[in-house]
Amino acid sequence: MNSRITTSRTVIVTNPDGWHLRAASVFAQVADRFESKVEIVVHTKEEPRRACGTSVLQMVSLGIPEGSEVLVEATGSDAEDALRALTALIQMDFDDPHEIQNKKRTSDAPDPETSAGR
Amino acid sequence: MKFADFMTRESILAGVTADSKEAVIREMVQALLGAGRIEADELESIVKAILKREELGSTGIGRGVAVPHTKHPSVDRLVGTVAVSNEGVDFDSLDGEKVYLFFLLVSPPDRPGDHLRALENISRQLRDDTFCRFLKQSKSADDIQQLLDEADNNQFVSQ
Repeated sequence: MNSRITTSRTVIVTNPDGWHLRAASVFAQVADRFESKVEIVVHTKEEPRRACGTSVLQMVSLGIPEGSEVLVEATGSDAEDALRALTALIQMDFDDPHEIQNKKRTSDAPDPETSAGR
Repeated sequence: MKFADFMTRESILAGVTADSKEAVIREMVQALLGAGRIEADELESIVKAILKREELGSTGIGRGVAVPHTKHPSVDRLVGTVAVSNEGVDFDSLDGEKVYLFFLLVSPPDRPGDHLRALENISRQLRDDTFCRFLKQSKSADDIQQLLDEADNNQFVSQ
């Protein structure tokens, strides 16, 4: 795959209920639409903890409260699209995913940090 | 947060025979009432609130597990219970599979942190295949309570 890239961006969770069950479910459903592999990472005092972006169980088990910084990482041919959709979803407090399309057009967020593929 | 912080032996259900989403939720909320964890006149309201939450998207999160829950102003602390079905219940799960393990939570509206920590604990334990297998094989509420106690003592996960 010549276009396999890894891209990541840190987002702050503003949802008052944190990364709760429905949030994780919606995130997983959106992540699943992309070919790219998606992971989320939270930094704790001990060590970074990772969860698969399509596993509700793994994400909820990180217990991410409001105000947390979460690194969203996507690897694959559509990594940038995946990252844009998923970070918009977090910024909308995990609202209905179909609203992402509207949000994307108005988003003036900086480009995500992009690095070479693994 | 540990299971012991929000679950009591009296409300645990082994071998539930309910065969629908509403029936199993109702049976679990009834068990919370039987254990004195909720008020009798709030039962219907709590059942309805949990079913309404299910309409937003099933809490059947795959691996045969569901976590039906709601916020409700009638409780002043997080209360929960667990039920095991031997036959499995159609729960509109994300993976389309039947649900065998149910963790039901009712939390005060102003305590999202407690709810999140309970979810964290439940999901962390459920990531362990041994815990899930033993729980599914439980024949009695005492068996389930023992497993929850062992989980609280970190006997299943090292994280």
